[in-house]
Amino acid sequence: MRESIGPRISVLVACALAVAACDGGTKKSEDASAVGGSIVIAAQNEPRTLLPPLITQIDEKIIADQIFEPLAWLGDEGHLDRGYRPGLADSWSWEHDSTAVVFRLNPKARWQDGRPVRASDVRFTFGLYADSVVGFKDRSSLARIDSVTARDSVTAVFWFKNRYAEQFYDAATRLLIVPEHLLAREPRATMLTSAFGRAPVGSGRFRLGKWTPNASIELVADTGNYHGRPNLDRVVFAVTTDANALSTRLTTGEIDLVEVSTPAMFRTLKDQPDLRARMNPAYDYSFLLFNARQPKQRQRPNALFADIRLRRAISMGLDRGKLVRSQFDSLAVVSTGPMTRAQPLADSTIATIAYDSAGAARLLDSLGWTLPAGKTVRERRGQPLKFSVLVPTVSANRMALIVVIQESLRKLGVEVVVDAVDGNTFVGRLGARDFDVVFHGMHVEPSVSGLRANWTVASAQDANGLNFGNYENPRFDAHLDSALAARDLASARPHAKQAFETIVADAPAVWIYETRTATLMHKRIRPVHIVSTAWWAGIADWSIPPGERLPRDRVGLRVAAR
Amino acid sequence: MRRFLARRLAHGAAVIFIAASLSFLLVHLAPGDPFSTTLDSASINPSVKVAWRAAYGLDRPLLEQYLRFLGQLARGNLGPSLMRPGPASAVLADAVPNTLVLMGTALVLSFVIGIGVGSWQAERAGSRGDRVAGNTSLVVASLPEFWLAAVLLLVFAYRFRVFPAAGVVDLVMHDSLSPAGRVLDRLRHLALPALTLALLSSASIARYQRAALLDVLPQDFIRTARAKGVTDRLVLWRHALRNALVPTIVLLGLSLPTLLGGAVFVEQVFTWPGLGRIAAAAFHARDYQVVIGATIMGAVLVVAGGILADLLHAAVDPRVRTQ
Repeated sequence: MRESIGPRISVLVACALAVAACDGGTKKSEDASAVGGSIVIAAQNEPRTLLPPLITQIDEKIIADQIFEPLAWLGDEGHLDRGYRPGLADSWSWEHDSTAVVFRLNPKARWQDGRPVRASDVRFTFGLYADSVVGFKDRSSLARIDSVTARDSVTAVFWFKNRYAEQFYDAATRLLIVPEHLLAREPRATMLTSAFGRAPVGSGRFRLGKWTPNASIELVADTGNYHGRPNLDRVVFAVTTDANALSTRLTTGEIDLVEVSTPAMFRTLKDQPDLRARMNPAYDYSFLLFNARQPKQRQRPNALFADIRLRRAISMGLDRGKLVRSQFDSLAVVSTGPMTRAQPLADSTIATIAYDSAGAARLLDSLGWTLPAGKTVRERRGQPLKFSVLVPTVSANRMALIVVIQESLRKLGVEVVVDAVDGNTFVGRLGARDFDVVFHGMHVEPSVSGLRANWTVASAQDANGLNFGNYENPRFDAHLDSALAARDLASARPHAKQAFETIVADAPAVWIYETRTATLMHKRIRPVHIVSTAWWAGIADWSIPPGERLPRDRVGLRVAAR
Repeated sequence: MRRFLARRLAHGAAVIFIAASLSFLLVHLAPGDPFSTTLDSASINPSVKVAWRAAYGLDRPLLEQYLRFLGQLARGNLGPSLMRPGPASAVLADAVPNTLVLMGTALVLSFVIGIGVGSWQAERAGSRGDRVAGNTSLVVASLPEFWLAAVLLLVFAYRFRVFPAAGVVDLVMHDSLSPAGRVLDRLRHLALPALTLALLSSASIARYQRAALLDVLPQDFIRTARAKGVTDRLVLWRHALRNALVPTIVLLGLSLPTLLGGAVFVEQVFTWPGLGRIAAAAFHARDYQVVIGATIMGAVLVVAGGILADLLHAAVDPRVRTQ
């Protein structure tokens, strides 16, 4: 039976966690033999900044989560409403009207420069994340937090505008707390290139040791950390952009761990004798997004895709199951909507548009898109049924799939022109809504609150909104609002289901696939706290048994801790 | 000679200025912006990006930005990097030593291999060995850098595990090694990228060297040496090679830009944090100042290579000095 995060339960959870915090929740390394070892993790992009509010890439997030801490960590099961682990806060409680959460910081908490962590740092951090000038990408997710106050030096209070199911998640996990004394004077508009982003100081159990640009980032154990030192001496992130070099480095043992999302690499590496594969739940989905408006002319409906029947016909014409199986094998499943199955509010029982090529052809015929004798492309009043699909060349999966999609639609009499552009151009054209159809991908969090930014009427009508396809249906908005305003997940679920059913029936996109990633790691590593949303959350508690250590595990801290 | 040098330097300065200006123009005209570096940046609100453009002065008219850039350049300042805190010159300064080590090693290796193979071929010109070596060098010279790099990586790092696959040093062990161990560690990491570049250049050098020797070998002084009883081998290595080195030595200067061009791909494959890798990353990130800086460095290398070739030509051929 699922619990809801109400005041009473919260107090119990807080007490339980406080007890856990005393007997091991804070993970002091009691077993000396567990201490030691170095692991090398592949970073597939050079991080730009490690300043938490400005993190956009997964590699940046993985590193920042070692250096900084949230108030609480999502539990191993990834439930939004229970099971949180203490982070900077060692306990928390709800105010009586449930519109405020009080976090009590661990009084021993220190920044890596020795200064104590204070509630004013939490207040400052919220201000930074919420400041539109700074550029936190999920800023809209904080919209329902009214303010943060410091009741005393170790008590921070989050005040909410209203009560809703994901209050605690928003307050406890979205913000990685940063030091006010080091950032207060930084100009906020240019924080992207602030020196702090390259020399971060957090309260986490690892601190930055050495950053060699375009090569590696070395984190070393913070031996004086108030939670106790991590088991590992160091974690090195090796920037390796070339796929061949990445496979080779992993196979030869230069790298211990990589997160793989391309099937070819997974097939090559999964049977390596030294490696252990672990499948992660999918939090990424990709889809062919139709632009309901003319490219760059939002006031005019799109000549093709304003018509829901044409969108549905194209959806019906694609055998998504076959597409996904042929491309991904076990690394992806067919997407069912703007969600992934791992999200607590997702509902995989929702009826989707099934593959029916004959039905698709009939629907196109009924719309006047008929196949003239001797031609291969359907026409209506002399105009061919032809459109381009914007695809980023940096996505190997999407580049491979679009060719198969192109061929599938060709059989239906639809001509697809692949408009492949580099990542930078892709993002620019996406933001300008300069496309007919785009092969887009999104990363989601366990919460579904991000749907508001991407699919609602308000974000479609906002020239700077992230609803790139201009999808508008007030019915969807109403159901989503009800789901997000529900007091607990159980009462949110029916509203979420209706919202999903509405958007899936409207076919603003062809939902293609949810990618799972696989974490391949060296067998000598003993991981713990593999959270469903973040395999890296417990790295500080990972260990390497002394008998299985490699020479690099025996280097110790002496050299790195400079 | 001084006037000649001054004229070449003036030409060189003009080339560098034009390269910098063209680079400025092209990189600013390229679609995208410095704040859309990854697909994930699509989720940043466009209004924030507009504010960032204003904060970094990228919303100003292109002409104004260009004039400001020229002003900074005249003071020896490329301007700030948009990828990292600090000036673009600091980003380049981190990368240049790695590229110099790679290119320097590749240059030496390519000349040793190229001259050796070319001379060996000339010694047995027309034989089956000469034909095999000639065809092989033609094939190697035609290979794309990234392909050869990938093949060497798969053979020597993946299959036989003789050399490491990537990086400049061992990421964990290097600092704990003895001084000799550190040198060895660097050499092991240098082997594959340097070999890739060297093989590609050496193929052309071998062909030049063979042709130059075949021009020299029928000349009178060679016949005289043979008439005096000097062995064939000594004639080749002591008398003919010396004279046949002139065109090859001139190649030394001209190889620099070629090597730099190759380094862009090779550094990418072997994760070698040099100028080529920085330039590629900066272009993807639209880090304008770093791209322009890398272009200027490339132009400087081309100009320096040309001047070096002239100087070397003058040094080895007394007839040039007297002109």
